[in-house]
Amino acid sequence: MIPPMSDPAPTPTKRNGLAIMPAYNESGQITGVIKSLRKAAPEFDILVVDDGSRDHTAAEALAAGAMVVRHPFNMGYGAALQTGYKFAASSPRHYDVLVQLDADGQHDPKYIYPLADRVLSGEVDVCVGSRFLVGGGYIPPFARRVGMVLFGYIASVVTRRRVTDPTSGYQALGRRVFEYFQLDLFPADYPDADVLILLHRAGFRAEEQPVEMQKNPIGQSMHGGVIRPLFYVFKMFLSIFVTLLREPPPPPPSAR
Amino acid sequence: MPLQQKLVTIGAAVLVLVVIFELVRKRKLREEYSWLWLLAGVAIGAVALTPFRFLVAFSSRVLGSENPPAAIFFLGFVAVTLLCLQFSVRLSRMTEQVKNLGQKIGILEAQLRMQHTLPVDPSLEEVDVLVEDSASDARPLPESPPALEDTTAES
Repeated sequence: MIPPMSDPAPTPTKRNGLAIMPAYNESGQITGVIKSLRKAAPEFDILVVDDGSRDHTAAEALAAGAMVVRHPFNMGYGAALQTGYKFAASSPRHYDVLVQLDADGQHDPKYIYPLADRVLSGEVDVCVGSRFLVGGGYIPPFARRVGMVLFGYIASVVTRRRVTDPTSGYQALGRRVFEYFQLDLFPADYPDADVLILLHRAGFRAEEQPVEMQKNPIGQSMHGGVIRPLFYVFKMFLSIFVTLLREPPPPPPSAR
Repeated sequence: MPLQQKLVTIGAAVLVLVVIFELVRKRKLREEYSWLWLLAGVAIGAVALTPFRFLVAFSSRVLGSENPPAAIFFLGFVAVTLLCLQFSVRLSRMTEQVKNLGQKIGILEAQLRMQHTLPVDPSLEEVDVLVEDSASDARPLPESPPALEDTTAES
């Protein structure tokens, strides 16, 4: 490998990590988000997965210095995440840890290192940032909170640990986990409590750490409208049910 | 069965068969799917033909129906439902395949772009500064790109 520049001797705890951000029509905000992320986590490479945006998201992210994978058409948030996992797993850089966060600036990048370090310590395979472990901050609307509490409760019972924020997209994953998530059973829409249960049943260790989240500045929520929340509840019940019914495929061996 | 009804039924069956053969001939329907529809057309015709009348009576007796046509409708409805279900299954599988293809294309495109072997994409040129900026901060790749071997091994 060619050293990029006269780097000081790498500290033994140098993080070999990748931050992935699924983005859909985030033109105008993505540049600022990438800049703040780079400032908060300079050791991380940044990958933006452009889920078939119809604006200049990909071009702006490239200009801001991120790596960009573009979907040829819109495939959903979960599919974009999975693209990031596949990219990371096949990358010659051999990332040890991957942190996923939203491209709309909802997730404060100062928690990237704390989340990643929990995974790098080897104590857990997945570290989920929960907005409900610290007081204050953004509280989502009532209807959404009901779903969170309900599915958080179900996930808590099944996984026998406290799950306060099952919908959180702010997570750090170890290498074995993002290799595992290349399976076709990773949901293409929104990974939620069902994925936490899948991880538990496949034998991975997960935990939550407190993070702060802002309200989505644009205000477009993934659970807006009347039909979609109902469909979400139905889909999640079904998904949890079948996840419990089927034998989880075994995770890959722990050796790289 | 009145003669007029018989003619209409046979006419419908012939129409279905002709349309299916025509679709296959024009390659708008793949042969592997056509046999099911041909079967459906034959079944419609069979209902009208005298030698197969016993099927109607038999099925209504088995289903406990006092009205033979109702039994036929019920069976037809069940058959169509199963057919739709079969298509949903195929559709789910294709959705998965298309998703995997789209992901792979995006990743390959990104890998080529990072190795500067991809011709410049006009849709990405709308922001001027992109080429020099994007290269400066990323760490360099190893000289021999092992990316391709990796992808094949992983998938």
